Amino acid sequence: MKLTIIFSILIAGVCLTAQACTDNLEIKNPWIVAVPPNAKATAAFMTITNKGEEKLEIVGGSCEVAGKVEPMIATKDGDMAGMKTVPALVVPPGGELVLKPGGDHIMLMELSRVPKDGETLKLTLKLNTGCELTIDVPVLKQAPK
Amino acid sequence: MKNLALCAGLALALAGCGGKEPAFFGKQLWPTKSAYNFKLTDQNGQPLSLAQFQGKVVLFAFGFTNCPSYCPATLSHFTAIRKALPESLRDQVQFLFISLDPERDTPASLKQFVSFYDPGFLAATGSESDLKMAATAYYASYRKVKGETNEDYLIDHSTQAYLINPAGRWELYYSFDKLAEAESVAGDIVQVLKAQ
Repeated sequence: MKLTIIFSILIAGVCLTAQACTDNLEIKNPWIVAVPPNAKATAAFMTITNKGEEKLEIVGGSCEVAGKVEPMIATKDGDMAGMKTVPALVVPPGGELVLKPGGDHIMLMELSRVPKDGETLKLTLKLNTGCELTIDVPVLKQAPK
Repeated sequence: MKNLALCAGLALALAGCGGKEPAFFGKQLWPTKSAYNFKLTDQNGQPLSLAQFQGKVVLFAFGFTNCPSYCPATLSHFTAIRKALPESLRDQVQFLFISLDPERDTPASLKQFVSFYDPGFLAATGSESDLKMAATAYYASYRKVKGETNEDYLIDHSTQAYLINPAGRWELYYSFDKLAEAESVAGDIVQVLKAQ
């Protein structure tokens, strides 16, 4: 009985800490791009708002269908567009980071299976603070309206 | 009487300035340019040339099927544009995806890629030199970017879409962002079809 109470307190403590450290983070309109059955990668987009006074950095993540989840930025050289992996995507204090097609994004690579159009996947974002935030993300062909 | 003369003058001036050049949502080539007749191989392994679509509007873009961001979005925009067109005009428009990655994009993978978006869309690729000529003709650029392994590369590329009118002339082009405005692009296509 004593052990159960101690265990419950510990679990509650962990949950509260996890929640508290992502409290300043707000995610809007997340979606993962529905891609053809032969795709090797896809991308996740969303708007991330940082309501806190410290900058937050998305340093990586995990997803049930991807072996690797990496922050990526869009690059431009003349009219040539590309992308490259970066150590982190920064959400400025009091500001927001918009991830959208043709722009910065969270890349889902080494797919164990191709996400199906219409399904919902759990995506975990890892922050520079060590905190993690898991969100439900719909798989869509186009951005949610 | 004086007002009537003023109105007539204004009408003449407007006709002179803007009568010939219709206003489009996309960037217009004025005068239009004879469209380079690329010769490639489609997703069924059949020869494909731009000239075979004479009489139709062709909307095409360059990319590659392993492209995780721009290309799926471009194809989704094509789907939305097709849906935004009046049903009676849909068969008069050919959507085409040109792969700049002949090494990995076999006809089978091109087929899987485009048919995911619309069974009527076409995809094609060709030899390095054919692709180079096609890209150059439309002022597009691209280059391979090394990945962790030899097979793991990406391709940086121009992300515009190009509209060829039914007479085989390059009339409009769209930036990646503009292509997302399906209703407006569809409006341009209707206008181009009506002008023929």
